Order: sequence, then structure tokens, then C-alpha cells
Amino acid sequence: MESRVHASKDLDELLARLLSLGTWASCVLIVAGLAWPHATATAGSSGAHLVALGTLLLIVLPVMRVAVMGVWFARNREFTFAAVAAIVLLIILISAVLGASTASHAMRSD
Amino acid sequence: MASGIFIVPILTTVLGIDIHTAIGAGLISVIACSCGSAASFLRSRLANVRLAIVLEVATTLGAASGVLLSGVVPVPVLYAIFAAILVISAAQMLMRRREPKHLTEAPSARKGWARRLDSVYRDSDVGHEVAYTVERLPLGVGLMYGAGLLSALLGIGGGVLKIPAMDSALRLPIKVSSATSNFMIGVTAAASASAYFFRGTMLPSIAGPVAVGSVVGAVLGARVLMLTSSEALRIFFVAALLVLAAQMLMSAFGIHVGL
Repeated sequence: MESRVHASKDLDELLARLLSLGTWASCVLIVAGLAWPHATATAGSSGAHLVALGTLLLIVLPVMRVAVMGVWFARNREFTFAAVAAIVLLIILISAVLGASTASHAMRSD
Repeated sequence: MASGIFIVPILTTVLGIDIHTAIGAGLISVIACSCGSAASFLRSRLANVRLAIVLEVATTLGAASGVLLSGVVPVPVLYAIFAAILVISAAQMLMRRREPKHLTEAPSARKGWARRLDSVYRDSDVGHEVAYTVERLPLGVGLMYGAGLLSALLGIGGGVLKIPAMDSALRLPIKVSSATSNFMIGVTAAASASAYFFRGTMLPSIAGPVAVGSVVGAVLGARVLMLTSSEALRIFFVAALLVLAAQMLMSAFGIHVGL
């Protein structure tokens, strides 16, 4: 048990770096987009694109975190947990597809 | 940490933003808070990443269900559910969380991989490492499904169900439970946020600024938390939750009162 607890210390550090770096990168993109000269409100402008990119990065960040965990578990021969990570990724994918497939319906009701 | 629950009521009742857009922004705020504070929880070794990934199967399934439900639940019903959750959150905040009584030493009959969820953490109050076991996993998983569903449906972190799941069902030490649930909620919210992004109800022009505000708020909030008495803060939060609950309930019945 001891060895296992210490063995995942590098996983914790890896995830900590990924998540804090990703959060800051996304904030920088969003702030840059908002500060873009006369761009804030108009969709399709460079500023709006940056804001959308930053927002999308933030959504993708936890998904990347699950993928990193899956690879780490597989490399360390913890195949049960690697499989669990793969299942979580699959569910997120299904959820995203569900959202996309109900897009037209949601737009019409608005 | 419970900041996520304030985003949707403020956006809808104070700023008059459409509730589906507000829910998308709420989810972005949840992800921002989770990812922004994850590093400190991971480095202090409080977040149990193996337990998190197992419970995330349930929370993301719940989130996918919530995405489906949100397409069919009428807006007034959404407001009413939200009001109820705000009241329950206020009640939870009034009741102090107690360190769960541990079903100690009796090694559970579980075998194999589930044992590997047990871990140790370093308690700074006690000054040494404390070992803990994860109890009643199936009940915890069930409650986590509900937490994921509520999160996706309402754009919140789902602490209302996660706190009982982690304290009462899994019987985790409070510090481990807070850190692990904070770590998990980003993935849970990503499952629904990605769906709303593709559905087109996630507006970056609103969600983006909310994300930046959440990260800044989380950093400042930690400072304020250390300066203010926690008792005064609790009363303030309870009052704020109840005021917003009243506003959301009025919105459910189509009464709009500007602040």
C-alpha cells in the first residue's frame, strides 16, 4: 500500500501542472479576446473568436485530464483504472454528441 | 467553493439573461473553479484521484442524462427546481458538517481493485498521516449519478448531493471529500458543457467573462476567507441563498422583480 500511495505522487504533480497551466492559458485567451479593439459584442470578430477559443479550452481541459490519467494508469499497469478512465471519456463523448444532435431542436424552441 | 450555485440566479434574475445561457455559463464557472484550484488540492495530496475517476463514471452518466432532460423540462419547472436546491443548500450550510464516524478497523469484505481506493492523507491539524477507507461505494455511486444530473440540468456544482454522498455514504474525512469532489466536478461539468457548446446554448460572450471572474474570484475568495470570521460568512451565504431562492421561485411563476 505504501509504495502505491507514493507511486501516484508523480500523477498528482502531472495533473496539477496540466490543470493550472490550462486554466491560465484559457484566462489569457479570454481576457485578450475581451480587450481586443472594438470587438467585444460583435460575433465573428477576432476578439470573439479568442473568447470562444478560451472557453472551449476550458471545457476540453478536464477531458484532457481524464485522458492523461488513463494513459498514466495503463503505463503503470493499473488496467482497471485505465479502463475506467476510458469509460469516462466515452460517456463525455456520448454526452457531447447528444448535445449536438439536439441542437436544431433547442434553437427552434428559443 | 460553492460559488457555482450563485452564477445562474444572478445571471437570470439580476441581469435578465436566458436561463439556458445562464446554465451554460454556470457550468463554465464550475469548470474554472475546479481546474483553477485543483493544483493545490493535488499537491497537498488531499484529492483521491482513483476514487475520483471511479465516481466520475456516475457523475458523467448523470450529466448526460441531465443534458437530455434539459431539452424537455419547461423553463418554469427549471426555476422551481433551482429554488428548491437553493433552499436545501442554505439548510446544509446552517448544519455544520461533522467528521463522519468511521467504521474503523473492520476490513471491508471488498477485494481487488476497490481496496486500492483506500488511501492516506496528511492532516495538517493533527500533524501526521491519517489512513482512511472508502465505505459503501454503491450508495455513493448512486448519489453521484444524481449529483451529475443536477449539475447538468441547473449549471451548478451539485454539492447538495455530493456532500451527503461523500460524508454519509463513503464516509471520507471532510478534507479528502472536499478536495476530491472539487477535483471531480470539472469533469462532470465538462460532459454537460461540451453538449451545450455544440447545442448552441453556450454563449462564449457571457461564459468567457464568467470563467475569468470565477478564477479571479476563487483566488480572492481564499484570501477573504482567511480574513473574515467563518460564522459571519456563513450567515451571509445562507441569507444570499434564501434571497435568490425567493427570486427564482417568483421567476417560476412569471413574476419579475428587479433588484
